[in-house]
Amino acid sequence: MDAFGLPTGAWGISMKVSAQTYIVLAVLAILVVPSGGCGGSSEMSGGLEASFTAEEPAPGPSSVSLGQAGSSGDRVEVRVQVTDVSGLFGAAFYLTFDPAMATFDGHEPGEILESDGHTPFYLVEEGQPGVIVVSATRLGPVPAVDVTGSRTLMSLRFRVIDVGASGAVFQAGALYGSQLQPEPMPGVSWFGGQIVGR
Amino acid sequence: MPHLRTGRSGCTVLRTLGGDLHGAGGRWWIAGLVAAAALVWPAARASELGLAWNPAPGAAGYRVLYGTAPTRLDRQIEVRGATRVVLRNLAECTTWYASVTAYNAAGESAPSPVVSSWPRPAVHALRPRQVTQGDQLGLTVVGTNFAPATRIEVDSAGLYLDVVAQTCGQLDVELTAEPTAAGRRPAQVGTFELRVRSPEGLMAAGPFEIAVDPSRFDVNRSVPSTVGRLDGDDAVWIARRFSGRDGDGVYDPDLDFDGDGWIDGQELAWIGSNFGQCWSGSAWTHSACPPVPGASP
Repeated sequence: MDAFGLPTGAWGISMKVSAQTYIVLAVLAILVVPSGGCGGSSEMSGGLEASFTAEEPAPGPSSVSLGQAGSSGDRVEVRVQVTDVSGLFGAAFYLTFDPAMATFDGHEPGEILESDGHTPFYLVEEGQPGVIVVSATRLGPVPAVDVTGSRTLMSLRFRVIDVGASGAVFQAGALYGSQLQPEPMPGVSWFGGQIVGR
Repeated sequence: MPHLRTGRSGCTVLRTLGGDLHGAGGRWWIAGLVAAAALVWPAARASELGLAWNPAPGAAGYRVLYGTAPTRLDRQIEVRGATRVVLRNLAECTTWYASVTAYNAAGESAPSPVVSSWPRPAVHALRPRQVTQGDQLGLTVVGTNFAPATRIEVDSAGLYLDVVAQTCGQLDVELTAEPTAAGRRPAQVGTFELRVRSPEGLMAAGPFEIAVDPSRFDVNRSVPSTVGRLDGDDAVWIARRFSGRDGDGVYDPDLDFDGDGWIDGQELAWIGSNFGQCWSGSAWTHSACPPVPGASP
């Protein structure tokens, strides 16, 4: 595998192209890479270092909060944690951030909804720049999950693109129990944080 | 004992040299189309009608007598080596009568009981050919040989068709594609055969499409701020009833978008493919979404 995760054998064909072709490709690369915006290398971001600062580092019971799960270069993974909630079947929320400071880079499953070997359902969409729409839920006639302590519902990955801080703010968040007609759980606190680029 | 299959019940025995030929509760069958004839003689399109009967042992052949009155079977066709025939060039929208005799070197049997039917119906056009769940409208079926008491059928639960007027060449149908109100099993979406069935059971068919009403995807309207948005709440509502089947207590027809009686991956896929979008009045689009509070402009 090469640095791009491609099988090295895939490049074997390019070994046969002419020197002129290499020159053309090199010129194209110079023209295209700066405007591509999706290369994702730390060199392109000018050595930015990403991190996340939680709004509530020690969330109390019946809460949903964000916390840093890890970072590497200009990328940071933010954990969505649920703390001390009984009978959780699913969650729905929007998360807003400043698209001039960071870009959304994907998501990872968590551990709560996977309880009992269940395969949950995640929908994550950046519908508008700076607005992530999320659904994370169990599926069908399976029991809800009791969450004791702080556990990970899912993780969201960001890449900082500028120096500064962007608020990561929950909007319209709801945790749902397992009623057939799900009702939002009352009294849940939602804590966001700051995506930081240095 | 061989017997004649007809479109009417009955059991008149026809004496033949090889055995008896009975009229019995059989069936008409149809082959071929009227399209070619219609092109050649548009003013008097010829139709077809199939006739089948059981073999008579010892028969060398059969003579089919037919006409437009039971007492005037003035056309005939001989059939050898088969027990079915297609009667062609029949006047449309007319009752045709037929009877069969068997013959061999020793003679000819008495005729079978006379059976009757209009020629096979044909569907030339449906207007409209596509409806959407929730529609209540008039459907026009254009064709020919729509005999009195012709019925119309589509194999989609939740689609109701009622013939309110008919002529030989047209059926006026009142169509209801559920859901027209909450809690009703929706019409199943897809392309179906719309079948026109004559009183004798002869059928004609045409493709007919039922489309999903995408405004139904917005299942969670419990809070004003979520109305018109497809977001996580809608997905959780679908997920909770996932695998629910009509009649099992979990199923909710309002969440069964495709009307197949299941709440399954298709419903999640529809939510997923429009996720994060807002209702413009005719479609789910990002541009229809008002700003989310707290989002940067």
